[in-house]
Amino acid sequence: MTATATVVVPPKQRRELDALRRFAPVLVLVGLVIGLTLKRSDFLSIGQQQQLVESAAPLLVFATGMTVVVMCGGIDLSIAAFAGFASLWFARFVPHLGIGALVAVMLLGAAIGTVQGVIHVKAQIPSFVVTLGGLALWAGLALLQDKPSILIASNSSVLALDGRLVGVPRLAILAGSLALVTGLLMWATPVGRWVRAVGSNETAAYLSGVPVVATRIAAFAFCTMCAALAGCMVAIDQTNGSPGTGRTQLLPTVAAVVVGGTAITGGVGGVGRTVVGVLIVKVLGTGLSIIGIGQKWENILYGALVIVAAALTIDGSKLTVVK
Amino acid sequence: MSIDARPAMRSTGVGTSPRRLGIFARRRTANASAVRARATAGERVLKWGPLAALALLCMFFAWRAERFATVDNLKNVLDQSAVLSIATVGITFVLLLGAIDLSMEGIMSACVMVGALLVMNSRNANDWGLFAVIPVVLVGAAFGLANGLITTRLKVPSFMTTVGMSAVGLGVAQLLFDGDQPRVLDRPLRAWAIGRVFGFTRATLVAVVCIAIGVVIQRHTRLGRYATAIGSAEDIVALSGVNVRRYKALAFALAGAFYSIAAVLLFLKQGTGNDELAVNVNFAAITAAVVGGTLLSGGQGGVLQSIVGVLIVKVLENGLLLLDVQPALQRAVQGVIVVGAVVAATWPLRHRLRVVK
Repeated sequence: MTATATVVVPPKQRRELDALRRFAPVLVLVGLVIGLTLKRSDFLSIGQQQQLVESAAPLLVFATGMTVVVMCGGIDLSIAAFAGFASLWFARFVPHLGIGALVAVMLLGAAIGTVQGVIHVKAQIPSFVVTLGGLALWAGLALLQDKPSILIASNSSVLALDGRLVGVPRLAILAGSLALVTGLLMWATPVGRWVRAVGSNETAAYLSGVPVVATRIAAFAFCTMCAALAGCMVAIDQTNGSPGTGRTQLLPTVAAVVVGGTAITGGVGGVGRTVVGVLIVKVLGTGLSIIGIGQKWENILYGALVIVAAALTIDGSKLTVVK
Repeated sequence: MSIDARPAMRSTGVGTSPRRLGIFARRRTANASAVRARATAGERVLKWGPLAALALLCMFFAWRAERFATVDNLKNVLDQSAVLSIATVGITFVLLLGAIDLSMEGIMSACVMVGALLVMNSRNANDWGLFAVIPVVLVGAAFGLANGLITTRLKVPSFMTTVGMSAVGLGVAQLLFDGDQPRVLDRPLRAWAIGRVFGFTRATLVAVVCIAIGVVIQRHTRLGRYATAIGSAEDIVALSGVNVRRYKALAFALAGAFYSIAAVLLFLKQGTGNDELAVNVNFAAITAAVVGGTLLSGGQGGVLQSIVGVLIVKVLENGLLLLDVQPALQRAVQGVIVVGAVVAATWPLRHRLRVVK
């Protein structure tokens, strides 16, 4: 009974599939930008680009964290709810800690992500169940306070982050460096190999000595930490923390990750692809308002995008039973 | 044997992963008797635990909140459980498969808007009356079928498909809403829906009928029997010649149809069509099903178990409200309850090399 009936995809077809995952998103992005520039000549102007980059920054932070979890083969549905919760605590900490509030909230995020990861790995229940419970928990806890939002005082030192450095929004630089560092870690250190191994074949990874449990837990800790940072970024941008911060960002985040070419089945993908995915999602959003159908179609677009991209990037050969 | 097995398995579209056949099967047989002993104890808890919990909750609230154990309040609880009950009957069929449906809010929102725009309303000249139920149910079933087809044909995991479909449904609802809320002007229809029979609201009676239909489908039709079997061991069901993909897709469609009936009750009770009426229903339904004993791992529980869960959730909600506990805290509590219940139910299955994504 050692021979198992896994459907074997021929190497050539597998290579083509991987090439599709790797290069198709870039082509889509280039096509979108060309199309939009033809439609509206000032699309590539500096003002437009600054706006685009600024609005993409929180999404990039969310998606960077999510990429690592998805590459492990999991998912984190709690990020958007946790970002709201985190933004409240950020606004609460700022008067006492100044810029240290950012670090404190990120540590809080890492701790809570660790808890969610430990429950997922140790109790062996699917990650979407743990994080769905987390979604309800953080959304509920965020709504518990009396005031609808907590203001960040206008003379507060953290608001300096909202400015621009030689024309580039500071928050975008922060998001970009996070993605860059994560990408480098995934590319040049064993961590990246561990994540890929866990996502590709967890049993094989375990048997060959990869610290499977630690990798998975760390991925969830990192993802929730990123969600906390993204919540703080939105709070800085809007000068207040509120339960609704980032509430709508779960779907665009998942869309950005899968559209970039990271397979929802795990093992395949990377932060670089996610950067392309984030740009595609944002350019599409801008494009919708340029051609004039605007926000009303946004939900339908994201929903369809998630399903189509997930279907295209899934490695069918790895799936035996799809639940 | 392995050479013969391959083409057969491939033709049914189902491969068998090493963990089903290799070292794991051996480990399991070694512990089989112990596992069986634990399973029977576990089964007993699963069967009677939720009912006992419901009874304990009722006793507690009757003791602490003096307005709880009145006939009016209990009828009120039943009335408030109606929408959630019908939606939970629907999601039970998906959970039996071992899949999940996170698209309830989107589907219900779309159905609420379609229904509210088809009965006599403040936005257009339609006046379909009770016949509006037919297109609404078709819309719900179509959304559900789309979920099922995408999951089975394109192999996208159900949580992903349904998260996307939820957004599509919400988007459709927003398009139909268009910034102008349709008010339901069909007074006789609203009066019928809100009216009481023997002191129970018609919503309660509609829910009871839906539950009965759900039980019959679950116990006496192929769809219901196969759904349970698929949730227990999908690969074996496929190997015994059942068209797994068809019945999975149908279970999702059935769920969508039940959501749409819940949506009809929702907008008739509310008197307006609004794309935000169905907020938080999905999680409450999953909580109810899981707490009642319809586990997320599939193959266990059923419609009646889920309904016990609905009553637990709603009694808790009502009782905590009477004790002045904030509603926001209840959502947080639901989150903890779901994870806790899943951990408790699947704890015995833990294994060092078990792969859970």
